[in-house]
Amino acid sequence: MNRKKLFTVGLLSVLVLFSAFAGGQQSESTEPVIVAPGPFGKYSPPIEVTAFKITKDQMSFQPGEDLNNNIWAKLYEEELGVKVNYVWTVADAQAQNKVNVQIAAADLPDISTVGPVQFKSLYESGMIQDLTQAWDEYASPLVKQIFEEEDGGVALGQVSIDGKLYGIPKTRENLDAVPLIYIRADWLENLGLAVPRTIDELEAAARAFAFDDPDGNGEDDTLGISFTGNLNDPIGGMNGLFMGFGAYPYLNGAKEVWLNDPSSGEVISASVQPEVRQTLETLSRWYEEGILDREFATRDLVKISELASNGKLGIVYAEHWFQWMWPMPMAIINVPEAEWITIEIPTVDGSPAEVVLPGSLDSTVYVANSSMKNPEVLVKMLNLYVKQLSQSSPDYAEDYHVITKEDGEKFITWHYGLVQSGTVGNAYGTGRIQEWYKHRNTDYHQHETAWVADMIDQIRKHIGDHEEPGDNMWNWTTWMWGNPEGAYSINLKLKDEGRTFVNAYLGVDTETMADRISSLASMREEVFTRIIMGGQPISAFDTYVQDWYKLGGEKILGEINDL
Amino acid sequence: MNIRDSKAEALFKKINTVFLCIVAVLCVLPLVHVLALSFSSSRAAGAGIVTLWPKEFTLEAYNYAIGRSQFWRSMGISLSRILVGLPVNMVLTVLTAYPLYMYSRSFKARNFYAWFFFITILFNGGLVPTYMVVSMTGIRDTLWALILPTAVPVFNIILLLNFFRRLPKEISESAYMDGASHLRILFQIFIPLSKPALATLILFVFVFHWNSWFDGLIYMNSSENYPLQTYLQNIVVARDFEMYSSATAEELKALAEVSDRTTKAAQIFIAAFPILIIYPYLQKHFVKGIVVGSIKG
Repeated sequence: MNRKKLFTVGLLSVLVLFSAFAGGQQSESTEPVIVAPGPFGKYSPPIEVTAFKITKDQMSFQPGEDLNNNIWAKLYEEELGVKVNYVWTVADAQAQNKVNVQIAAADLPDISTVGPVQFKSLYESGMIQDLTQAWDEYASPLVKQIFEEEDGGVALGQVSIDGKLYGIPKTRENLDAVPLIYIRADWLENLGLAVPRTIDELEAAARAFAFDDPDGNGEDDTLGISFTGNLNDPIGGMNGLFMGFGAYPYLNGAKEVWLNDPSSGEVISASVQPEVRQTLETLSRWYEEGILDREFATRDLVKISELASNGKLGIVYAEHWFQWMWPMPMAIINVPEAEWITIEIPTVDGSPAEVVLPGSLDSTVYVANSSMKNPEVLVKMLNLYVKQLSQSSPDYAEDYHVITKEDGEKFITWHYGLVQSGTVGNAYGTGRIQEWYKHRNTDYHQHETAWVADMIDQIRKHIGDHEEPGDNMWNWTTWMWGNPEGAYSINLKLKDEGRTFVNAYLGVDTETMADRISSLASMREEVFTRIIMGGQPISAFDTYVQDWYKLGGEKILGEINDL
Repeated sequence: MNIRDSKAEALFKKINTVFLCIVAVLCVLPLVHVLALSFSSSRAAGAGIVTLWPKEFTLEAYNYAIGRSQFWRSMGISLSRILVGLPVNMVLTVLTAYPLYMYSRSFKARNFYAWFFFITILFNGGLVPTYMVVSMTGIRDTLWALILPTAVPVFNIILLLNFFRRLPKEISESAYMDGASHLRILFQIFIPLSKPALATLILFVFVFHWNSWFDGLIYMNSSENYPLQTYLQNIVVARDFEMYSSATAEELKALAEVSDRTTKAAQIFIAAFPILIIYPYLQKHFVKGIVVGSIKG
């Protein structure tokens, strides 16, 4: 499969030329272009646009409905006079393969949903068009407020090239990337330990978990702390530990993290800073002493969840959704006495941690084929999506988010939308749950959205103040996530206290970056892993720093700082 | 066999037997593990305590798999692919192998055609051009997109023509002298004599069609038309966990619900079943197909 991918990417560049010809031939049409002024103006007569859809497992349709006939399709038709014709669909797990082939064959519909790398190659081959004018003219005030003011133009900047907008970015709450620690409170209690606030306390806890039989079963069957061999995963990644040292080499989804150096005002690379060296030294000592799981290099996300779920592992660095990472939901069935809690990442000196976050682009860009006559349709669809689903919109309509049938069956309707945006997010959901916690009222079904009301139901069932209490694992997972000390509450707390900052460079890859950043990243993985596992002394880090600058890092920094 | 083995030879044979047994066991173990998983409760599977024997035996996973309409749809597409694709492949293989089995003194353009076919083994159009041909001929999103691009299996043709060459020349020559046409020689002499080879090729083609998944992914417009292996690839593929990072709580819960190992295992096993059935029947020919070739009385 990998070979196929490589092959596809290779061909992609060869076909750039070809596609330019293909594109040129199609656009020779003299039909008049129908216009519909205003952010929500309706096309009359209606126009048809083609698109493809990346489907998700949890996307299901009510009887009699399908992708071309559902609540969103009707909305596009009735409000905008736009009939969307989905020419093909593909499941998200397989989407990259399929989309790459389609791009290489220059066979794309009017609107495409692509990733950042595909976006760049589409731009370079001239297959997509400039949306700057469409954006200026058609974006609704609410959309402009969200994208230009609240987000500060970050996501738009990620899909702009030379100041021109070439796609509509799908945004997300970057707050989701805050690393936390999931820890077994019952183990801490058994061993008489306090909740760790510093790295030293964390080390003490991990040491006790590894060697002092925290579950009291008389067997040496527990691990201290473990990570995935990838070092940079959202579950079991090392980014949270590094951040506790004030080091930021890792950020899920980023090949390299860039920081603003306050003294010089320049952008610097995070992975070559002295704090990284300190963290690596600690990790390699942990590995040697057996506090760090000796087999961490072979672990992946699923394995980490298995170990935690089965009571073998009591400390996991993870993002806020760890309780849903299968088989973690089974934790309360497998080990009924397990009491998991989430805590902030500890720091070296016990001061509140600061974390780095990715940009607000959710690795999805909506682009308009260069032959598309009404590229403003993308902007209008975004207007509509934000109008129906943004929590700050007066027109918020639950049915466009999720429809719950009388028998409890749910249809997540927002998946049907074509141009989407991070609107009803986790921050909103947790905020509402905490609002409920303050009063513990029972009339929440009337004024909360069905999604939030449902979560409150589950939480009430878990804490036992519901008519039908029960420790269903899904109730537990929601409680873990939403309770006032729970996973997402910590994310919100960090945000409220201003302890988050964003990766300093988020633009499209610079020339040398596109060329070198992957090899620099794999060099980093190799060196770091070897240092941690004792294969190389810590001085290897100094060599790494020199190599990093020499092998392109210097040039990349120059390019970024010249922008 | 009457010759007694030297000590070294005996030792070699013993080690060889042990070694091959280990290899065989290694081949079977994953399948046994999947089978055990499919019969275990999802709790036991999630806890990672299932190895080679089902824990907390249940048929729930099979109930689930059988209840998925897309599974059966895809199974149907795979079966029709074989029903159409197998005859197409076999007919073209036989019809191409026969003229090419001759030497260029009796069929002048033989070498040209042989190279014409052979060169496609060394060089092919590649993924994207092939895709474009399929797309522009208008067979995309139809069963033909899965069958026609691989309708002429050149490797199989070479196997068969070599098999034909090893048949005693005297038979076809005498038939020719008696006035038999080429078609008659092919259908009444060669094909009956080549049963072992043909059975082997049928097995190859069957397995090829059954196991292909990538063409289903790129040529089909919607997952409803995926053949079985493409469908399975979708459910068992390692997911890109980056996308979880930006999922909402409700999506994450839904994702957790579908990542159940036991149902995956059940579906994998049902999908492997037809091959498991067909192998023993064709296997005896398979052995002969490779060994037979010398002139018999």
